[in-house]
Amino acid sequence: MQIKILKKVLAANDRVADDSRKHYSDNGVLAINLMSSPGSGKTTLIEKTIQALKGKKRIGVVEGDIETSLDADKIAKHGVPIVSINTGPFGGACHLEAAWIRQAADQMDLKEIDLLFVENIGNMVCPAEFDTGSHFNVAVLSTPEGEDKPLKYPLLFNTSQVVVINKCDLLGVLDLDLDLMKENIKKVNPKAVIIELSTKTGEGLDKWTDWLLKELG
Amino acid sequence: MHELSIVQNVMQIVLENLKEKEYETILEINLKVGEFSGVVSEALQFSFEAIKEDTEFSACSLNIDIIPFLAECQECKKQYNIESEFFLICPSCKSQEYKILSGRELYVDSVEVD
Repeated sequence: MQIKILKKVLAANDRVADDSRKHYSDNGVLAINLMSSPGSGKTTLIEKTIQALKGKKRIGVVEGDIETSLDADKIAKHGVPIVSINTGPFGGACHLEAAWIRQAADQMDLKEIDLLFVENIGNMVCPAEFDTGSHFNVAVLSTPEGEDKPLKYPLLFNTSQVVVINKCDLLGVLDLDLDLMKENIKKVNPKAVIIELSTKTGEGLDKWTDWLLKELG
Repeated sequence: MHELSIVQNVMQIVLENLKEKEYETILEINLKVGEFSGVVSEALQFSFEAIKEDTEFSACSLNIDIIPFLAECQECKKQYNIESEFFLICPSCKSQEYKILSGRELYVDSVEVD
């Protein structure tokens, strides 16, 4: 006997995500989900943003990692609220789910935060599929990763409203064709906002903080 | 391996929907997976086989039906697929205004029970 079910597999996550988004908005918090491969500079981007917006906007961070609190320790040094999620106990999951993030965010006083960064697990595949309950997805792509990454991992770039191209200070020493990289991003996501910067030299960081400030209103 | 989370979600959905039904064995789960859903069928199968033992799904097989990706150009209304590479550019008028019609699905279609 066949029984029709017709139920979305990620409906439960989508429900929590929608509810969380509203909850963050109600508390005056803009939530930004950062996704990338490991080593592209998500943690450094958060650190530099905290420094750049010091005294202007209050930042909180939900830090996702499979193991260790290394990234969380770096960010905690800046004196901002941070809650770490180690996905080790969740079977070493390669992504963050909306409910885990909500649980972490609820450990902070959201009224004391304007901007909540969710640093997703370094992975270009899985995180893209789970709505985190954030208002925006931001993909961080660093120049040494090569021009072809947007084509190889289209879902991540297609679901991100902003793509930050990091490590632009290396352009002189790499064989990278930056225009081709940007063209490839536009191929999978014609509407993507592309921001080129270097978290090392700070060049272009103002374009990123300008975007954040615009969205923060 | 987000496929493991997905398989766990699938099992939960099936059990919830069978709660008030009379059956002895769950024989098959029919899952619809979009070509562009980000899920790897082999990994789903692997995860399912790995966790089904000693559960109500021990005699159950997982059938995965792939739904092809299809986009519609918002300028000239041509419907197009993506072939070797994922380019959201209309092959006819080159517009990049698109609407995804299918290929992002991930849902439990039906189950076969005895």
